[in-house]
Amino acid sequence: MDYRIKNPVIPDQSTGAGVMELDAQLRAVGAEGWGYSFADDTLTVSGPEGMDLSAFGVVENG
Amino acid sequence: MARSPNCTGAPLYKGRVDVTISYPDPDETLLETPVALPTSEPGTAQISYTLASGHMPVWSPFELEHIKTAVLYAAGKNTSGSAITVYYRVLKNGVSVATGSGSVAAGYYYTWSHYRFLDVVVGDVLSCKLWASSADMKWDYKAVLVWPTRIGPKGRLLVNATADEYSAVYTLTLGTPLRQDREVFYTPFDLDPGGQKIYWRKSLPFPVIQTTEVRGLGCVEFGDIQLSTQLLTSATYHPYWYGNKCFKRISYTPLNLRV
Repeated sequence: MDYRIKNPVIPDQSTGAGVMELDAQLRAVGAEGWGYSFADDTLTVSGPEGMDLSAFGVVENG
Repeated sequence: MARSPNCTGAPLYKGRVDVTISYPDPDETLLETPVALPTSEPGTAQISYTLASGHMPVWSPFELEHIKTAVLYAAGKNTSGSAITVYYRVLKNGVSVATGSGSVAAGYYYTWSHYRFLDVVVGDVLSCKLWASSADMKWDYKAVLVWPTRIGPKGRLLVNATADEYSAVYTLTLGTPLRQDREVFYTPFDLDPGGQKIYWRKSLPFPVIQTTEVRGLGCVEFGDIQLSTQLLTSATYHPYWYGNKCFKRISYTPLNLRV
């Protein structure tokens, strides 16, 4: 399922290192894929039901 | 205070509108020799398009009010014996729009579809950087497509609105393409107060339709309502993509009433 987090607490996405760091953090909690939108400061994460993403912010559709 | 045209003497109906939209061949490239992705973010995007008039759908005999959205494709193959993560950064005119990642299984092809570009115009530069968690991840295919969205007059009543030639409007041809069809073009209507939307269908004429201030006659889901990136993987096919449907012809009779 897809989870959506507005204004997430994540590494700086302006650098490739920040992208890879966020990827590692999300995969550590079971994420299978993710996307971050700069325009609306929103993180969308794909993964299994019940995934704990609380470290990244408030899940809107969780 | 709003007045009925019947009270002012103005005609209730305006002339019938009947327009066609044709779509150019996709701008796509398949590299003869696949190129390995770096293992850190590259300085220059591997995939970049400057939108030209030749990318744009062509209206006849005139354009209805609309804006345009684009999708950028990037595809390749994991040639290693284990799963690899692919990272991306999408840019519009050199400014980061989105980042993300996905996993590709050993020996599988991947296709990224970046629906991240709402309101594009000629001259916009759409780009994508790709890199991977380890070597042996290649890219060899790119394409860009442009769709109209938020089509037609806003806040109007129209009668006998039809979309008889509503269908998939693009075909990607290079590589070993596989298209998965889906409905993506919303009507102005919501099915319920929760916002569940209704898709246009080819056989769905509306005796009366009220267009909305944002969607007009309709708008595309991916690239407008949802700015997102989708990853499809396959052991056989690439590009593996969603064939989004759109109008090829729209006709309606506008009522001379603002709602």
